[in-house]
Amino acid sequence: MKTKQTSAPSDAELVRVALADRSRPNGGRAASLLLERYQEHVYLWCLRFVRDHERALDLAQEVLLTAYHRLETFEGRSSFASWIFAIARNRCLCSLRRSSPLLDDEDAAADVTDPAPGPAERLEAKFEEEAALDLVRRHLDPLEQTALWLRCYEGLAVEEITRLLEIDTATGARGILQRARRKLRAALDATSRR
Amino acid sequence: METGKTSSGPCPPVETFEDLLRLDARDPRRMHLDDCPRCRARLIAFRSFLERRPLPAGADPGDARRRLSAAIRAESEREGRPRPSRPRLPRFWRIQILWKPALALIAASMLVVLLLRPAGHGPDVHSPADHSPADGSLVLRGQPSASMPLVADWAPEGSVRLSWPAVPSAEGYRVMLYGTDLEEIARLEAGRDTMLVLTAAQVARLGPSGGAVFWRVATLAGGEPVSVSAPATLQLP
Repeated sequence: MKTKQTSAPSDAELVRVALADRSRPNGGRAASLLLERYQEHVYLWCLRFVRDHERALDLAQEVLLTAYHRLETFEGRSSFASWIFAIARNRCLCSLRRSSPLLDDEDAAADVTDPAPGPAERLEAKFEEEAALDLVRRHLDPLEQTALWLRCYEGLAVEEITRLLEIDTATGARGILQRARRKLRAALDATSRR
Repeated sequence: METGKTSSGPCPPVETFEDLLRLDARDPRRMHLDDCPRCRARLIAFRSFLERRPLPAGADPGDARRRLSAAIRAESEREGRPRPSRPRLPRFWRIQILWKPALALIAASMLVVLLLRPAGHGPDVHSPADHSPADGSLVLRGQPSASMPLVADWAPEGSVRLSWPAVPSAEGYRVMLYGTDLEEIARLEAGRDTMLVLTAAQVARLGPSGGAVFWRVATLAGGEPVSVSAPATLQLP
């Protein structure tokens, strides 16, 4: 008996069909199939930020429908995965508001959320981020830099940073983060004394 | 102790990471990924987005799959739903029926143009001389649109002067800048001025050199936007 081997269409093929037949059922199905491939990744990513199933679903739906409506802007120069990741990441980071992420204590900062910070705040945050980047570069070693950035600007949990950076000390990433913050506070104090 | 290196240029967008990782390790763009704390963290975050990791507490992927699939399909069906079609008439009758609304539309458009044209002014009164205006248009809420050219003048030191024509009855203007992903990246109040200068440092923060951002101007009255121009492209030096 002959069996016909079929392979799942690639992301690029689905994007092509979705854009070519956008107004037809075929195009809609291709777009749906494409987004359904990533819906779990997007949902879990959102859950990491808001730590609540229902709110994560709301965020994930927003991300997926934004991707659906902006599919025409996907130019195919990058992978679809990185494109939808950028949307999810931006949306999740926008949902977070922290006054001074580099120096905030872990637990105090973890649950402070805001569904929609204004553009002025976002611009301010962007400028602050540049200043923070400069500070981190000058005063921390590479492991501390990465750990702190993952925690403060990518929103990863401490346990996850420990795993991703393969930190095998007893305190894991928490110890690295505390050390990094101590160094930054000392550096800022020294600067303000001058 | 200073352990970090100096910045090797602006950070590339996450979408380009995969391409950059294929470059030679000595390529400056590839080296930036290794050197920059922000890019290193973003790359790790992207990889973590794709990996199948242990489920976080409170996760219910089955419920998420079901509900998100339903939302996507509902959106897809809503968009792809064909408009109800009427039985087609013979060609002669189709022409007879269509020409009347077409004529009415043309007449209405001409009336609107005449009404919106300021008395005693030519149509290009708002176009500053010696500039090539971007293709912007002012869309008034509930009213037809009129032209609103947006102009960007670059200074040699890298600052840019954004300007636009005055709008009668405007109490202020707001400039909004967007990245290529159409996310708003800045919102700047210009007061009653019809121009705004972005310093070279501000421009550098908008995006990578050689990239582009979009900008548009909102006209304010009573503190609220009452109209907004079409976006124009601002090519970064």
